[in-house]
Formats: sequence, structure tokens, C-alpha cells
Amino acid sequence: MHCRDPRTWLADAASYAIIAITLIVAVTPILWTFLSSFKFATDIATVPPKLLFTPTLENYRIVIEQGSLLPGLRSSIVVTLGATILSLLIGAPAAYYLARSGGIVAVGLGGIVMSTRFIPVIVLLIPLLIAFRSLRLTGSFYGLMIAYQLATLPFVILVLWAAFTQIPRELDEAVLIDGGTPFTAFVRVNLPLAAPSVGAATILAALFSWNQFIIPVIIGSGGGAPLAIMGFARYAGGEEALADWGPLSAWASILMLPMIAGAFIVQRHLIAAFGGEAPSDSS
Amino acid sequence: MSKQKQPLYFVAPLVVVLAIVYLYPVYFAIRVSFFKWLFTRPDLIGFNGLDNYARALADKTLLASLITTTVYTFASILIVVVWGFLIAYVLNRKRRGRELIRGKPVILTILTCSAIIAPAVIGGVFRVFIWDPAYGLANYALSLVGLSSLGWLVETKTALMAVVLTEAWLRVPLAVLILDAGIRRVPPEPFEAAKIEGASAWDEVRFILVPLIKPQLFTVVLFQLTFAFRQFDLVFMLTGGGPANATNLVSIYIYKMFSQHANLGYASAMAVVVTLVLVVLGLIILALSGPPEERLVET
Repeated sequence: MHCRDPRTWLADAASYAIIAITLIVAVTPILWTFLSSFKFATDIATVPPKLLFTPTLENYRIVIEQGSLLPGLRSSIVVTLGATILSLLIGAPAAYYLARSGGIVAVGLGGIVMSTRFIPVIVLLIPLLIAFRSLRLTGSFYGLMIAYQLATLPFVILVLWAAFTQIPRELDEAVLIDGGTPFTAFVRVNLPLAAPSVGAATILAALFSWNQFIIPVIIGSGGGAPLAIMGFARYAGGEEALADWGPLSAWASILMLPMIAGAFIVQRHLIAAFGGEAPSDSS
Repeated sequence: MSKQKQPLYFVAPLVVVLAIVYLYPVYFAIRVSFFKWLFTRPDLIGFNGLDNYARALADKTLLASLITTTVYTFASILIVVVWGFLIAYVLNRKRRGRELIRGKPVILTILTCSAIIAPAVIGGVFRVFIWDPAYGLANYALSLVGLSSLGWLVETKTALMAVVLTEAWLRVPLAVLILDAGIRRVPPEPFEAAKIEGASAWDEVRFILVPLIKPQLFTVVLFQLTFAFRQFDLVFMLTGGGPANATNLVSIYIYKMFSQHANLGYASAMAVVVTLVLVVLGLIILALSGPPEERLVET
């Protein structure tokens, strides 16, 4: 405990301050929205903001009775599940191919998949809507599930591509020598070995699907109940906002809760997705 | 087994889906960009050559929108990289062999929350609970430190700043996660050597740490570039592009061309221009990143 010189002390104090301020700034908006969802209208818009108040479930009652929340959540869950499964079914074998094959097909496809991140999604959606009409995909959720691949597939492929690259090819060759096919090598050997990354890809695909906004705005929900996020938008923004803060915060809380519950699981997978590396189990 | 030969059925589903959701729409958008194409007037659809592009180049609103988007993008990159690095650096500071800040996993988990909530939801929530001039927390925070209130989203002077800050709020955590993963893996030897040489902490950061985590820094810059430049959800919910086009990002402008004017031809031409700008910016950043060991911090 010797020689705490003032400059060290100052640097330590600054470090604590940076973390403290960051945490406050990060947490307050979410916590405030959550708290507000239990407030009566008279307690929400106040100066100064109220920390102590009589809690109520009134806002949740309003959004449920208004009728579009529960069907909206059902639509959101169905589309999220469908889009996530589709992403894995398409993305996993494709990522395996990209990791194992160095041919022109692999290079070209990899480039095309990554190039999707440079095109504003909005541009693709009207042509997509026209394509869906001729494919008769507008009357169901299938259209949305397919459209969501624009958002989910690049990340699923990125994560799994990195994962399969780390699995030694010798294992594939062993399977082939034992009389297996490339398909059995993929399903029996590579998929189980890449299980943590498959988990990461699944979570990411679900996350991106659940959070989609612009795609359902343009494509619509194919005759089904509008997604929960569309109902939220009615309260919160866009041209026809109701700006009713209580129900707005209740609706937002319901949309945020599953995300926050999964934050711990998601954390290292986010690094994997955006850093382009396999998730590690260290800390 | 040849390394190049994998059965094509592995990629067949990908090819089909890419053709539907990506290649066909891109082809369609490029083709339509050479057409007069209004949804409301199908009778007027016809080839008009480069007219849409001529209009795009002369469109003052598009130019303003591109400038706004570029400012939005680079301002958010700056905040995300600087603040994200600062947090990641502080989280990894050591004092007598132990980490100075305890509970890093908990802190990272808390930060992750904001990174994974839908941008549209964040936009809707921030618009009222943070940026509302009368009851928002931003003005309340200003009043606590004795500063006067700002109009934030409702004033043209402050709207862009408020949306940039919201974008940064959304993305800093991701940057922290990525940069932390990089810093954690940096070997201790160069720092011990620097200590012996008597280097200052600032020199250690500049000459050792930053070059060593350059790949992660460029990952952050690149993902923030593509996220921010294409941003729609967040700003659409915050301001809808207003007030007076102060936050009219290109995605929002293109959306308005679709939804208000039903002008698919012109919107597509704008989209082609915007995509080219983004690709050029991306290539510049990729070129700057280069091989990590070649480019040190002298630039």
C-alpha cells in the first residue's frame, strides 16, 4: 500500500467516474421507461421527474384491452421463430460450404452475402414486395420470414463460417474414408463441434428478427395481426403517433423485456457476430 | 478428397433465397432507376434513360440529406470509437496485478442491454422520455448542473446532435464488447518493456495498445459506418426526418419518395447513388486499415 502518488490516484478516480457515468447513462433510459410503465398519467410527465409514486398496472390494462398487443406478440413470435429456423437451415450448410470450399462459387457467394450490408434495406423492399405478389407470398407470414433473411442471414453465415473454419478438415476426410458422405460429415461431425456457434447464430437471428421494423413496415404482415413493434410505433413515432406516454412505456417494456432477459447469454455472441470470431467461453 | 469440391446442395437454399430477397430486388431497382415509374400512374411507366440520375445530381434535398447522413455517420463513429475505447481501456486497467474495476462481467452485461433493444423501440422511448423539452430527462440533467434547457429534437439546431447521441447510446456497448475482447488478448510483455523504458501511460496507449488492437478498432468503425449510414428505424421513430429536414437521413428520404410520392424510379436512382457513396466510404476505410503491422499510429 505504499507510495500512492497523486497522479495514480487521479487516474483511478477518473476511471471509476467514467464507468459510473457510463453505467448511469446506459441504464437510466431503460429503467425510466420501465418505471413509467407503472405510473398513472399524472405521475409520468412531471418536473422534477418522480421517483416515488403509487404503482399501477393501468397502462398494461390499456394496451391489452386496446386489443392489438396480444395478437401482435403472437405474430412477432411466429415470425421470429420462423425466420430464425429458416436462417439456420439456409445459413449453416452455406457457411460450411464457404469454410470448406475455396472455389469461385464460395468466393462469389461470400462476397454477395457480405455486400448486403452496404445496401440500404429500404431500396430492396418495394421490389421484394412486387416479387412476393407474383410468388403469391403476400397472404401469409412466409413472406416476412423470407424477407427477414436480408437482416439475419449475413450474421448467421458470418458466425458459422468462422466456426467451421476452425474445425480441422481431417475430420471430414476421416468420415469420407469410413464411407460417409459430405452431408454426414457436416451433420454428424461439424455441426455438433460448432454447437456453441450455432447457439450464437440462433440467438442473433432471433434478436435481429424480433427487432425488425422497416421490413414489416413495407412488406406488411400478410393478412395476419400486425407485429407488436408496429403497434408500438402507433404510440411512439412516425406520422400517426398517439404520444400517450403511459401505454407507450408499457408497450416498450413488453418489447424490451425478452431482450434484457437474454442480455447475459447474448453478450459474448455479439462479439462473435460483429468481431467475426467464434464465441469464446473465457469470462 | 479435393478441398475445392463440396456438393453444391449445401449452398442451393442460399442461392435461391439470395436470388429472391437480394439479387432480384437489386436488379429490379437498378432497372427501374432508368424508368419513369410512379405507383399512382401505371399508365406513365416508361424508359427515361438517365433522367432520374440527372434529377438526383441536381436534387438539393438529396445533397443535404447525404451531407446530414455523412455527419451523422462520422459523428457517431467518433463518439462510439472514443467512448467505447475509453470504457474498454478502463475496464482492463490493472493495479498491482488485479483489475482496477471489479465486476467487469456484470458491467458488460448491463451495457449489452442497450445494444440489443430494437432501434425502433429506443427511438420511440427516447423521443419522449429523454428528449422531450418539457419533461425529458436530458433537460432535467442539464438543469441539475445549472445549464438551461435545449429544444433537442424539436429545434433544427439541436435535432441532429440529439439523434447522433441516441445512435451512439445504442452502439457504444457493442464497441466496448469488441474492443474489450481485443484488449484482453494483448500480451503484457510490450507494456513491461515500456515501463522499464519509462514510457508514460499515454505513450503506452498510443504506441503499443492502439496498434495492437487495430483490427478490432476497424471492425468497430466498419460496422458503425454500415449501421449509421443505412440507419432508418431509430431516426424515423425519433424525428421522422424533421424538423425541417434537419435529420433527413438518406434512408428516410428514400422512404418518403416511396411512401409520399410513390416515385419508385427516382427513389431507386437515389438508392443507387447512396449505395455507391457508402461503398466508396467503406473502401476508403478498408484501404486505411491495411495490414495491421504496416500502419502504425503516425497518421
